[in-house]
Amino acid sequence: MLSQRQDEPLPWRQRLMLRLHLAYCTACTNVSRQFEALRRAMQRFRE
Amino acid sequence: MQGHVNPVAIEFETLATHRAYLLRVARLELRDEHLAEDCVSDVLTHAFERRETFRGDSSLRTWLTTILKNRCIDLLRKQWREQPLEPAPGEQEFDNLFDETGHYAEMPSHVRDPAELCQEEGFLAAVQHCIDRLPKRIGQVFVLREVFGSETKELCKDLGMTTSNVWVQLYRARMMLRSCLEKTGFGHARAG
Repeated sequence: MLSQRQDEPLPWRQRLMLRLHLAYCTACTNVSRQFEALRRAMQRFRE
Repeated sequence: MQGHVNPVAIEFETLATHRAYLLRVARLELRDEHLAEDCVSDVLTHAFERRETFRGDSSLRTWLTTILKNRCIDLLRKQWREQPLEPAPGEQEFDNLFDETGHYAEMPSHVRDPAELCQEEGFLAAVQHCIDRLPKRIGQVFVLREVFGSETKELCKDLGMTTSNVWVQLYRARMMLRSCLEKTGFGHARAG
């Protein structure tokens, strides 16, 4: 889901589930931030 | 050529100033030095021949990037057709990311500030290094998505893949990259 939401808007139900999960899961929260850093880094190749 | 009246007169030299940029992106996408160089030469020649079609409503670089993207897709299609699917060397590595209960084998490290981290040259170099180590096709799909900005639908159409296959490939790319970056790129961002 963390990966998929970078490619498509998630259905609201999944979005809610993910938010709930991220509220207590440190591992997934960290991965989510890593994905964010990765995406931003990839955009820098276009500079 | 000299007498041609053109409101958007583009000199070849102007196009060529974007060569280094195009080459960097082409290398990342095609994973082949010579192929990337040929491809960029094609792109610049093609752009010069069709410079009248450049309307100036996007930047020159954006226009060139679109031409490069289309050229890369043609080359990928050809490559994928001619080369049998590689035995995914990343499989084992991928499985090792999770323990037998399906949880992360190691706690993913904390990134304090993604916006700050991505500005660091060291991180960018680590990302590039890790992309080059991805299984070829997975890396190619990922670069099309993240650097060229292709949407899932375009990837399906351009590469003849199903939606779920595109998602799986992108998911694998991101997971393998984050695992690779754990070893180098995210390291210095660790808390404490």
